[in-house]
Parts: sequence; C-alpha cells; structure tokens
Amino acid sequence: MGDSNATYLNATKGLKSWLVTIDHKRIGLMYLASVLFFFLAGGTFAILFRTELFTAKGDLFSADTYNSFFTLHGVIMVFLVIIPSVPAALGNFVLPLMLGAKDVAFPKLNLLSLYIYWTGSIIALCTIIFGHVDTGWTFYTPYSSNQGSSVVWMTFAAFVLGFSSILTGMNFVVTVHKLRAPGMTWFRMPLFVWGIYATSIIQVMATPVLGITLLLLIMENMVGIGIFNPNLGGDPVLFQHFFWFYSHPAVYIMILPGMAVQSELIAVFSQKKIFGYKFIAFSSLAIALISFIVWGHHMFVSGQSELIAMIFSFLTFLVAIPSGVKVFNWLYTLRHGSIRLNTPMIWALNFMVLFTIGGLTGLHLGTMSVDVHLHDTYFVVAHFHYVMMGGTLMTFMGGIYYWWPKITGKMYNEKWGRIAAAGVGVSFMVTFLPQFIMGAQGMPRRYYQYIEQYEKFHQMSTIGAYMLGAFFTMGAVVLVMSLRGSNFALDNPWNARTLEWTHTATPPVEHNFIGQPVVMYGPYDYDAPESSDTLESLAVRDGQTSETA
Amino acid sequence: MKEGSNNLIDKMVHYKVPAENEYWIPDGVGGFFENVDWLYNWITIISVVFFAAIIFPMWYYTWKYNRKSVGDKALNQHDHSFFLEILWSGGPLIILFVMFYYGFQGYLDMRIKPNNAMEVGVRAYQWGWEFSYNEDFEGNATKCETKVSFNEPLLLPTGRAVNFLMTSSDVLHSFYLPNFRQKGDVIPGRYNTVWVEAPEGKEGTYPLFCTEFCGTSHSQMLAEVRFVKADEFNAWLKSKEKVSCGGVSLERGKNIYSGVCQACHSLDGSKKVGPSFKGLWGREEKIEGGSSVTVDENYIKESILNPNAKIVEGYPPSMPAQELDEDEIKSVIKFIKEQK
Repeated sequence: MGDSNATYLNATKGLKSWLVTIDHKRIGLMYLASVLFFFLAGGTFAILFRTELFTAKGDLFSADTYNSFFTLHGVIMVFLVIIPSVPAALGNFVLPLMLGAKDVAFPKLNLLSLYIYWTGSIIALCTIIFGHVDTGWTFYTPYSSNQGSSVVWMTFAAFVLGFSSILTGMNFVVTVHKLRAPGMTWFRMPLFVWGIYATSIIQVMATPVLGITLLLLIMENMVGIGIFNPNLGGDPVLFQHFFWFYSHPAVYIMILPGMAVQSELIAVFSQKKIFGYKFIAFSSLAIALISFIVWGHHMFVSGQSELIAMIFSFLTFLVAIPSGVKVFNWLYTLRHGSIRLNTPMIWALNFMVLFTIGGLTGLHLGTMSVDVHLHDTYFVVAHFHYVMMGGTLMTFMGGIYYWWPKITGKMYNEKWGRIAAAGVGVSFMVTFLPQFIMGAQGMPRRYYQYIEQYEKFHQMSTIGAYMLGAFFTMGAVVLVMSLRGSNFALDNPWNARTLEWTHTATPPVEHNFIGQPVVMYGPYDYDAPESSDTLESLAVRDGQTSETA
Repeated sequence: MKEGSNNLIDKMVHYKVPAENEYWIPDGVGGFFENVDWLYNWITIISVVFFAAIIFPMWYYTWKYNRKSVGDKALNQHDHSFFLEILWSGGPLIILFVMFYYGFQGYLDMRIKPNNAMEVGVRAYQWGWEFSYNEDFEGNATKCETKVSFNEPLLLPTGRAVNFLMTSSDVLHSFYLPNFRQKGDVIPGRYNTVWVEAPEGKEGTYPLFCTEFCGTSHSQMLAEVRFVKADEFNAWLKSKEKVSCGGVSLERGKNIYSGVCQACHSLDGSKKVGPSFKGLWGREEKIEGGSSVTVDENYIKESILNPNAKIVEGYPPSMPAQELDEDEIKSVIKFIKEQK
C-alpha cells in the first residue's frame, strides 16, 4: 500500500491477475467490456433488420433470417446488455465505493457470477453462430416448444445468465446491509445505492421463476412433458403467465438502475441536494413491490377473465405513480441549481425527455380498451424502446461518462462527447417516434414484410437507426481516444459529494480507501463543509495522512 | 426468392387499412372505436400536457440556472416539500383512475358479445386463416359447415353482430382488425372469442392481420375481410356452400388446396416447404429412414391426417395435421391426380 502510484489497474499485472481477481472494480470493468461488446452485436443486428424493413417487400434476406435477427437483437439486448449493464458493470464498480466498503460482501461469489455470465454468453454466442433461433425474446409456447435444439440452447443460456443475476443481486443486498461505513446511515446512502438495492431484491426474488419456467420449456422440448403443449394436454397461456411473472419485474430490473444513475447525475450537475430524497428512495421500493403484481397486463387479449384483466390494469396504473414522482423530483432538483451541461448531463437530459415519453405512452397501453387496439403493434415496440433504451441505456451511457474519469483516470473530449450524446438523443426520436404512428395505424410487430401504407414510417425509422449507429460509434471513439490521450482526470472533477469521488484516488487504489472513511454528511450535501476538509480531519483523527487529497 | 414468386404475397403488400388521417388512428368501424379513439386522443392530450409541463421547465431551468463560472453555487439547497410530493403523486392518480375506468368500460363492451350475434368460426394455422359459416344473415342453417380460405376476400354482412369463435391448429396467432379496434389471441386447444359489428352503410374492405409471432410466414397471414349488404352476403354464402357441401369434387379439392396446401406445396414443380404436387400422383418417393412409398390414396390420406408418419427425403417434418373429413380428403386426392 505504500506505493502511491499503485492503482487498482496496475496493482498486479498480467492476464491471470485479471482472471482471478476478486477486486470488485476489476470485475465491474470486465463486465463493462463484455456488455459493450454485446451492445455492439445487438446493435448490429438491429441495423441489419432495419435495413430489410426499408422497403415493404421482403427483399434483402429471407424471412427466416429476418426472424432470427430480431430474436437475436432482443435476446442479446435484454439478457446480455440491459440487465447486467448498470447493476453488474457500473454497480460493481461504484456501489462498494459509495458505501465506503473495501469490496462487496462476497468477493469470490462476485467473480463466480462474472464467470457464470461469461458461460451463459458463450452458450448464447455458439447458438447464434451454429443454430437458428426465431422465437422472439419472449419464447412463447407452443411455437418455441417444437423448434428444436437451438431454442433449447438459447433458453439454457438465459437460464445460466439468471444465476449470475441472482448471485450479483444477493451480493449487493448483503453489501448494503452489512458493509456501510461508520456514519453511513440508510438515509445517507446515495440514491444510486437505493436503486441498485431495490433492483437486487427483484433479481433475487423473480429470477428463480424465470429459471423454473425456462427449465420446464427445456424439458418440454427434450422429453415432451406436456406442461405447455396443448397436444399433450398442456396450456400454452400458462407459459405467458410464468414468463411475465419474471419478465415484468425484469422490466424494472432494467429501468430502476437507470433511475438510480439519473438521481446521481441530476444532483451532481445541478450542485444541489436532490429534491425529495426519501420519496425517490421509497418509490424505488414501491416500484419493486408493485412490479410483481402487474404481469397480467401483457395478456389483455389472450382470453384471461375480464375481472383479472381489470385488476391488472388497475395495479398497472398504480405503478405509474412512483415513476412519475421520481421525474418530478428530478425536475425540481434542477430549479435554483447551478447547472453544467457536461456530457453525462446531456445523457441525463436525454433520459428526461425519452423516459417521460416512454412512461406517458405506457398510459395508452395500461388502458384496457386502447391496449386491445395497440397490443403487439409497433406502438408497443416504440414504447418499450423509449423506456429501455431511452431510459436505461441513456443513463448507462451517462453513468459511463460520469464515472469514466474515476474508472480510467483519464478525461475525454467534452465537445465531442456532448455532440455524440445530443446526436443519440435526436436520432432516437427519428427512429422511434414514427413507430408510435404506424403502431396506432395498426402495423403489427415482428413483420418481415408489411403493407405499403407503412413504408414511409419504416424508412424514417431506418434512417434514424443509421444515425443512432453513427452517434453511438462517435461516443465510443471519444472514450477510446481519451485512453490514448494524456488528459489526466482530477480526483473529483464534477465536485460530487459521494464517497467514490471525495475519499478515493483517481483511479482508486486496490482496496479503495486509505483508512476507514467516516461519513458525516448526506450524499448531496452541497451546503456542508468541503468534503476534502472532512477527509483531512478524519485522516488526522485516525492517525493517518491522506495521500489522496 | 421463393416468397416473391407467390401472387398472393404480391397482392398483400397493396392491402390498405382505410385511414383518412394516415398520421393518427385509422378509420373506425363498429361500436368500439368511439371509446378507443376518444380515450386515445384524450390520453395523448394529457400526455402532451404532462410532457410539456416537464420538458419546458427542464429547458428553462437548464438555461436560467446554467453555471456561469466555476465555483458558482446553487441558489439554495431547498430539498423537500411535502405539499408538492402529495400534489404530483395524488393529482395524476385521479387522472389515471379516470383512464382506468373508461378503459375498463370499453374493454367490457369488446369482450361481452350480444346474444343474437352470428357465429363465424375462425381457424388460424401456419400460415393462413379459414372462416367457417353455419348460418346465413337471417339465421338459416347452411347445408354443412361452409369453409372459406383467406386467399380470397372473406365476406361478412353489415347490420349484424358477428362473433368469431377462434382456435388454432398449431401455434399461437392473434386476430386483429385495426379498423374495428378489435383483437384476440387464437390459441391451440381452446376457443377464444371476439366480436364486431359493422353497421349498414359501412360496407367496405378491411384487412385482417396476425399479430402474434407464429414463424416463417407470420407477416403473410394477411386477409381481406369484406363487409357487404345482407343480400350480397347470402348470395355469396350460397355459392360457397355449393363448393363446400358438394361431396367429392375437383372444385372442392382446388378450393381446399388454395386455402390450406398452397402455402407449402406448389403446382409448378418448384420446391417450397413441402414437395410440389406437380407429377406427384403415382410417383415413387424416397422417405426418411431409407424405404420408399408410392403416392396413392392411402399415402395422401395418411399424410393429411398424420403428416409426420412418412416424410419425403430432404423435407422438414413441419406439416401440421389437417382436420379434413372424408369427402374433403377425397376431393384433395382428385385434385392432386389432376396435377400432371
């Protein structure tokens, strides 16, 4: 520990030191690299099938190829990118630092969940290369129960990935409960931690249901046990209940971490205490709870009873409230702030615009009679892209740009970073706004070819997709160039108040902190004394000298 | 490309969802659209208002409170207001409850059919639709169940509620009439129903889409549903009845072919999902497993009722069993014999 130049990046060297590391920061970084790789893959599939959809007739590749491309896009983006994006990649890196802990509660388990994630990814990759999966990411039976071995392997991959999710979630829950630094009370935890905590609870409770469902599906395929196949006395709709019992909470597994990052970005770039801290914190828990009892809103047209449908619709409207509360609180935090439009803040503003649209169009879909018209049309496609991509992925990018100096020690070019972020926001609207219109006009999902009436909307959408590809590439180039440059980052470039900025070096040392940090203030206390002073005084009290100040 | 060679597919691209305003919601027919369109418009307006109430202040704040120089602090650290929290969670809750209530009302109308509805059977399969009729406009029973396939317009009468009793022969499909704002999943092994009513004067052609992904040709499960006046419907049904209830005939065989078999079996010798019917009769076919079989009455019947029993070499075992009766099978055999 004596060497003041040793960071977590160069404390030990060689490939092996990375592969057997139990340092949460290195594990987070490896997650980050994997997630970004799959983001590239999933995005490439999207660009390919959007190209096919440029004309009404299917002409670029065959229907089967198209069907497998949209399936791969969905499976990769959901299971390999969005679910692990913020929690596993950023959460792993940041969460222990924010709590003032040396690592997560179970560092070896953490490494294991990374290896399980890799195993699941490799199975998925092999299936993509050698097999043919065209069920959509929802794997609806009975179509999926007689599609042969590729579906079995793909579901097995999702099954394996579930374990990674469960272990990471459990690790975080225990870390939050047991490893908070002295003085880090529950209400001094940054809202990022609250969001990840709520996410972890859903992960631990809901993912096993997906595991059981996928296992049943595998058994159905291999030995024909007849749970879902009507020819064997099974019930195909039962699968939908099982699937959405996991996958609706999973939607919140995907969005809550995005909201978690958003709270940090808004507070820091306004240099202001977050408005309604407790309301934001508890709304995460409220979302986590209610998310378990709304799954039936995916089945308004599948013949479930009117009473059940009514109850699910009602609960669905309830879950809108905590999300709305968050948005209003973020908005009010901006008021009277001292706002800087750095690159992460541009991503955060993208989130505000896009997620608000995503949330509001959810009202159309929660309203039962309107949903009957819109169900399984492009309106739904647009809605969940606004929430998942406009929500989670925007803040994931924002989070990467926000913590990039901490992770790498380098600062990127702000001008180009801002252009890339704003460009993604604009291209997103060009891509997905037309999809609302054609959805309302009746354009069904997952169509390889379509009636000419919708062609102009599809063409605009495809052009938007190309723009998205270009601006995301620009965003990646900005980050890569920063690594090659020599623009070293300050310890706390954004003047944040959370421990990962105030109490650690940039990049952090292997064991995060020198001495045990003691927390005296809340995470956004911009009216408290400068935190570095606090650090000095604590270090003096603990009989140490700070090397980080 | 094999799909491109099919005339039906070329035709489908030109189907139209009647829409006066191509940038909003298509023309509404029947009773449900009033509730749906009203709610759709109203929710959209509410959404735009909320969007503006969030995004304009956001832009204003980011402009007004922009940090001019390094070290500028926030004007204040005001961080909570119980009143505001109640306002922006309670206020929307009331609006949401209104949406919920009217949405539920409309949904009940869509799901509860009137007692005097005319029942039309819908069978969905990979990849097509088949309507079956048991009564005419006045409610007189047809000679037998009259089946009509989706490659010609499917006729329904205006001025009478029509209840679709739907089931699937294979996987999930979904029955969607955009202009009627009506949709219902078509599920194998059980019945699901949806109903519509086009009032007199609303005669016209409306497309029917499949909206649940069902495999390779999901996007080709498009049909034209044509609502006509009662007289025209009855006359049409009579002509279909002749074909459908006519015992064994070549015409009936042809009709079944174009409805059911056409998607996978060509007549010109080209290879589709299954073998072509051209020159099929009497041929010796090698089957999976090494043996061979002559295409005769028995083989065709077996292949219709239990398609996977003897698979011709080089083809996937993907044909679903077909629910045809004895006369229908004989008609198909007659038709295949003619394909020299």
